[in-house]
Amino acid sequence: MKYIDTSAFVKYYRYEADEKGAIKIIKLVEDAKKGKTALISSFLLIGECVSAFDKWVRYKLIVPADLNDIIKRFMLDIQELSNSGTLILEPVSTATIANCLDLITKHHLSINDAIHLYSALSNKSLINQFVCSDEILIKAAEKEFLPIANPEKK
Amino acid sequence: MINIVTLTADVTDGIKKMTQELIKTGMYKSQSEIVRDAIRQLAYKYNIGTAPPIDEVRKTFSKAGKKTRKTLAQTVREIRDD
Repeated sequence: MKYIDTSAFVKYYRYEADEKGAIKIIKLVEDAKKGKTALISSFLLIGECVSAFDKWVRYKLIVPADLNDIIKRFMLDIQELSNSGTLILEPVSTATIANCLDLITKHHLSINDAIHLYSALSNKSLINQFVCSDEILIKAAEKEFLPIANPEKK
Repeated sequence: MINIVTLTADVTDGIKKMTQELIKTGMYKSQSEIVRDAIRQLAYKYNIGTAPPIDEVRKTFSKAGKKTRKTLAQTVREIRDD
């Protein structure tokens, strides 16, 4: 099972020419949709993806109608993956936040980074790859001995 | 291929002024774009229509990405640092 961070998952919505690593993530997500591989992440991924898409509206790069279509597509993808049982989204509870506090101070992370790291660490025995393209989170995950797969690297 | 058709509508002076103001903000390039956006938003509000194919979403981001060097992964980092 592979843990997928939001920084990697969003690449599913780009072409390789526009965002490095997209081709690897497209294959990974398509494989998961076909039941060939299993993914796990935090439920936070949903909020972060929508927030990232919405930020492009705030930057005036896309119009609100584009955002509506993008969210519709995104929710359908999440539904497809969840229905096929190949995407597990770890819930974010009060216990999650409490357990993240140590990770925040240990690695000087934001709460979002800490939630992903904690969600991966609490499933460490099931995870063979931590798929992430964010350098800050990668550094912390390396220190926690998670097997990193950065889609931007060869 | 997308087939473009013409839709004619009678509007008040107030609505016409609003469209001009929206274009001035830079968010929209034309009145047609505003009408398309308004109809899509109504469809979304009333849950009409289906999700677009994934390639259409990638094309939208590709077109938008030409105006910036930002990637979605970098945008995720910005959200986390906000």
